[in-house]
Amino acid sequence: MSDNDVKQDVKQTVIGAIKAIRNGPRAMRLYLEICAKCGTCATACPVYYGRAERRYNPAERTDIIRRLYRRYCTLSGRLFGPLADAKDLDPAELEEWRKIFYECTGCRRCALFCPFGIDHSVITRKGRAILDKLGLTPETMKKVVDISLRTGNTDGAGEAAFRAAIEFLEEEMEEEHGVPIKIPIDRVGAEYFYVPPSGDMLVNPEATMGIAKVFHVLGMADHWTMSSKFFDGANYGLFTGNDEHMKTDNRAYVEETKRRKARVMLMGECGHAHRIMKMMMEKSRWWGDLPFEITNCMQWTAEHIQAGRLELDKSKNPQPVTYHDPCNFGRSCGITEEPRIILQASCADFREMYPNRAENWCCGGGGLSAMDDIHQFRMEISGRKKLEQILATGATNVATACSNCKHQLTQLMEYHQQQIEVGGVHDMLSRAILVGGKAAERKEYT
Amino acid sequence: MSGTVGGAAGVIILASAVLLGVRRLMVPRAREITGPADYLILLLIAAIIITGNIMRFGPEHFDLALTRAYFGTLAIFGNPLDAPALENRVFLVHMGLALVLILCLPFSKLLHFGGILFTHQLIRRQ
Repeated sequence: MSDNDVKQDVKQTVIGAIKAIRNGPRAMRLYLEICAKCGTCATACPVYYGRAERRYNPAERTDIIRRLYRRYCTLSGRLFGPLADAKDLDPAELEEWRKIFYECTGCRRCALFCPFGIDHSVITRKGRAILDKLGLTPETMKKVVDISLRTGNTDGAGEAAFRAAIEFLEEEMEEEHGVPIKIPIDRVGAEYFYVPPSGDMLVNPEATMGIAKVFHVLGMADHWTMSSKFFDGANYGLFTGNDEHMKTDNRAYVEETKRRKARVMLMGECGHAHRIMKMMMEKSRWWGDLPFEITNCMQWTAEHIQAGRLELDKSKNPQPVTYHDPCNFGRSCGITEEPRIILQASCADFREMYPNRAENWCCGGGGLSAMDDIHQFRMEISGRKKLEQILATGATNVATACSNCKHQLTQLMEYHQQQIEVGGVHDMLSRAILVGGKAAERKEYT
Repeated sequence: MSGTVGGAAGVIILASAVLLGVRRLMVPRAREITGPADYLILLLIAAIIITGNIMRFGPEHFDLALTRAYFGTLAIFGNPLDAPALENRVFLVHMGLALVLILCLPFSKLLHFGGILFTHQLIRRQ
């Protein structure tokens, strides 16, 4: 094929995807039809806050897709062209698409403030889906998806590494409390199947220790299990816009829950994993009726704290602690109070950052956290607002419930040379919870 | 009474249109996403308001009763060509532009003013 043929081919693929929107979800068509160009989304966007440039304006990013949609799917666009803000595609622009569609963290804050409720993250994902179809997904993201589909987790860890990590955690916990606290693996018929992000097993494992301790204290150590093959709820198909990848990855976890004959799928501190399970898979019935329910570990723990079944020693966490609402929990799933219940019970000095809950600013990472090639962008532009927000609280510890947020915030603190520790919600609980009347004895936390 | 209220409305709506235009030109986050369609629709509305105000405040006062007679003729399918209202050029321009506006409605973002009331609900139901 000649160069020109390839270009035509690429163009046909893009136009085909744009035309298919007409048969897609009604919400997406609405997002493409309406927009008064008022600029409100830009005031809500963490990226635009970081640098007020046209390319970072959410409405402008959406307009890339919208111009094509107008050109091919609306009467006025076909008749009046540029006069009606319609434009044809120049395949040379696709190189720029690769950058621009990965400059949105997909935090959905714009959707909250837009008078019409336009969710620009949906259009961003559409743009990425088109790129993915053309094989133009950035290499860093492609790599994570490949590893995830091949090994079942985004870190590419095998069963041996997983078992070693569990062993290490069990030793740690025994050292802390002087009693053995188990993390059951591959049990069939346990009530709860715990699905953390793999980061909470391998990078910040304290959260998993916290969960194990809660089960232990409740006398339910025999009622839960993890899986040695499926221990990562992270699902990068959401970020690359590839529905097939997303569903393949998701199905493996649903099947594993069935194999474990679990009654509850207990999602870990991972915002997008919980959102896909609860708001997408379960709600849209991807795999029909489920023989189990889906709950988040924070909801579960908070319930036991409120029922007075857990004792915690706040003095173990005397430092000022603030909570960063991960976008997927706060804005997209409405899980805002449970982490606060846990943190207020575990920390002596809990501070809110403002704004918070559904209106919280994105960490600046989101689905882009794994992209080291845009490290500077994440540190200087998209994460700028978050840094200011955290510094304003005066906290020396930021707790959050999402591996992507943790990764981004840790890098942000390093980059800007702030002595602020970043960790999970159950991390704080793990340090404060009383096991047999005694809190963990430990001098240093790294 | 109707003269005073109508006159005041004419001034207020002109000020609103000017302010919208100024905002679009002055606020960078709005200016950088503005396309020709956004400016054209504002210009169209402004032109309608201005011609309306010229008829009301201009030196050559235009009697509102004439339009009433003209539309009355239209309503009963009479012959409107002799209507005295049509002899006023400003009125012709004003009405012509208003017709263009009505033609544009279904194709332009002006239709969105209704959407603001229910899109949030519509989107949430999906």
